[in-house]
Amino acid sequence: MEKTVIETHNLTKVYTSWFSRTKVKALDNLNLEIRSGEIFGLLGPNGSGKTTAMKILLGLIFPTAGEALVLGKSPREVAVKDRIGFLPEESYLYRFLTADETLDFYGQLFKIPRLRRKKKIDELLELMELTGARKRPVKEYSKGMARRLGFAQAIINDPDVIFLDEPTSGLDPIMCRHVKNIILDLKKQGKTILLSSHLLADVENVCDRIAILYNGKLQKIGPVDELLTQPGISEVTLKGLTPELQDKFKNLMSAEGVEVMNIHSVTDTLEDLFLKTIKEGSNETDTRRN
Amino acid sequence: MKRILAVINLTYKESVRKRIFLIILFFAIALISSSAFFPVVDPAARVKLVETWAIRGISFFAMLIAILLAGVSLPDDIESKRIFILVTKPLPKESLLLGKLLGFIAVTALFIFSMALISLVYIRTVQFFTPASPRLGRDSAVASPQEYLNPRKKITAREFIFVQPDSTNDRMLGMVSGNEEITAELQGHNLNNFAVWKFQRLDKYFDLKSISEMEMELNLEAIGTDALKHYSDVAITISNPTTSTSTTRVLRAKTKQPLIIKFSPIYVDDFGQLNVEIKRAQPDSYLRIKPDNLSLTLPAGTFTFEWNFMKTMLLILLQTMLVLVITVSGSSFLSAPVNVFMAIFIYFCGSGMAFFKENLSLMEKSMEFLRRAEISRPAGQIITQMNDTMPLWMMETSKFILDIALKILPDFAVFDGMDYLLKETAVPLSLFGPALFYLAIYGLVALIIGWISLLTKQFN
Repeated sequence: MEKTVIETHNLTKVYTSWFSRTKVKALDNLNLEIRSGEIFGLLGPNGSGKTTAMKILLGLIFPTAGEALVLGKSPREVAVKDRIGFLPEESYLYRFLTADETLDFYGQLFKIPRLRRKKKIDELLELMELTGARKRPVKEYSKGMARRLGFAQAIINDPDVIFLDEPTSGLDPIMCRHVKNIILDLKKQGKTILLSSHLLADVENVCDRIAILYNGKLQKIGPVDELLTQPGISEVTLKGLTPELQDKFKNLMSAEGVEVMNIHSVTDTLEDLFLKTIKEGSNETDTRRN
Repeated sequence: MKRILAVINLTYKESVRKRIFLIILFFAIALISSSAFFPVVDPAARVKLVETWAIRGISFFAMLIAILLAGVSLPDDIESKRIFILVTKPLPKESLLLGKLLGFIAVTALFIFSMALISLVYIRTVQFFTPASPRLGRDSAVASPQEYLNPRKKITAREFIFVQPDSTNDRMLGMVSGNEEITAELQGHNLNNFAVWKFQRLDKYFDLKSISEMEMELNLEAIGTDALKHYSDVAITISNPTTSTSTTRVLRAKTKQPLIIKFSPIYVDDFGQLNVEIKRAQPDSYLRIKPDNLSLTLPAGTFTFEWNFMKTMLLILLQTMLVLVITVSGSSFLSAPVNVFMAIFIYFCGSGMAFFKENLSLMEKSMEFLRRAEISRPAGQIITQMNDTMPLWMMETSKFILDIALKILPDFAVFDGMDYLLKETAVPLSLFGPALFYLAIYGLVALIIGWISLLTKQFN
């Protein structure tokens, strides 16, 4: 059985205003167990408590009641912070630093030796396709570039646990797919990833398990496939189904007591269509150049 | 340590890449360089003016850098949520605080010492182009430009005695050091009253066999009884206590115009003792004398102006460090505008502490007077207020508040080396001990407050 990496026990957070006049229960007895090597998605509308849960797990805020453990320890311990990475929902980078300086600074906080740090920075900038812009100050970066640099700083220490808050926000579909591939690669390397996103398609594509929060309470938790499967309803994909065959197929099924609910043409997702078009455009340009 | 160094490096880059730093740097250079073109009555005053503007300018702009950069750095990190990333990295809170503080100290130190070097070159250049001129208060008629910036070490007397032979209360004795409150007044028709300063162990400071001349500086509050006469003629007797050899000179003393008297070292005895006595030469004058009004001055070496200047800069840096440590700690729990306001408030209070202390002492005297009036009042009559003062209860409350404020707020007088520098006397190294101690105590308390605040802070 895989080791539990992140766990919360009756985790509760109440925000109290000055003089304790008003209280807001942002998190209500949350119990979670995230296992080693899985990508876990935290879903919920605004104000559902997912950011609060993530902040407690990162040691940014303290719980009112209950307990949160990361790698078996309090998330406020420096030893835990040595093994985690965090990408906040916006990049929150120092605008006066260049990409090189930014990664160098965060690398120094992990006491990575200079030569190894330099090699790691080169790799990360290459991975995030920022090598050409490494000497430019962050203030000149587009939102997507800053986001990618933010992602790079989150994994500079080769962390065991990675917290990603809206990792694909601000990215174009190509970069979005690229980042999702990176997330899946990180999973292959055995990393545990806790991901929070509003983009449900992203979560569906990459997550092994998800938890849905609402009003600070856990509403649903489980593997994505299991939660999305509708019992008793199956999908059959056929090729070469003409309108005549369609009728025959319906009759045959109804004779067996199976209701055909819907027959429609298979479509691409918009993301697939976009990527295909861009790829075709790029091939055309290459051919013309040659 | 590596993490602290990383934060120091980050803070340094943050500061020097900010526009406000460059603007302050520009204004500092513009202000100091323009001071040479201000109108002056005496060419020697031009050198002094440039020197004064350089010291005050560096001190002021260093403080501005400290407050405007350090006061907003951490609140800005918190406000812009950059702190989210910092806090999730293995960076202990004390390392973050120390890194920020040391980073800003590095920036202000760089500013102070680079400005000091520029100023020194500029002052020497202005001095080079300044012609020789008469100097007020000097007995030598013409001062050479080289003499303008010649710092001298100041030696005060061991003992100060005020002698009134015709009075029953004929002697007022006191050690010079720490008795600045003692004042001797010479007035009226009796010219027999006199004040004596007794110097000891001067052989420690002077190589008496090799020097041919000694110098003393006398600052007196002197006025004539006639409204048009703003001076008093004084007889100054310099004597050897063992051999009783002496010399007497009559000189004209004016308030705020120091008398520089040169004399032979033969009046210092084998034990390094020397007596200096002052009497009025005419009855129609008034002299107010304090123990620290007279001092011997020791000429310093050739390059001591630079060393003296750098010592003052070091004291300015220590003062800036005190403001920095308070500002950086304050930034852990205050928003940027409140923190900047608090730092400015502390800076002004710290600079004006002498004024507050004087007010407190005046208040105490008025309260004492009111209390005595209360005791000796006729039956049935209540005296709680004089015509021109506030009621006693209000005074007591004000005094209570002022008392607490004076105990909490730092006093920048401990870092004041400017006075010595501008008076052309050597900045004593003994100033650094109390200054460092003061900085250590305030710094430690402020850092502990900042650290606890960061430890208990939640980042929403």
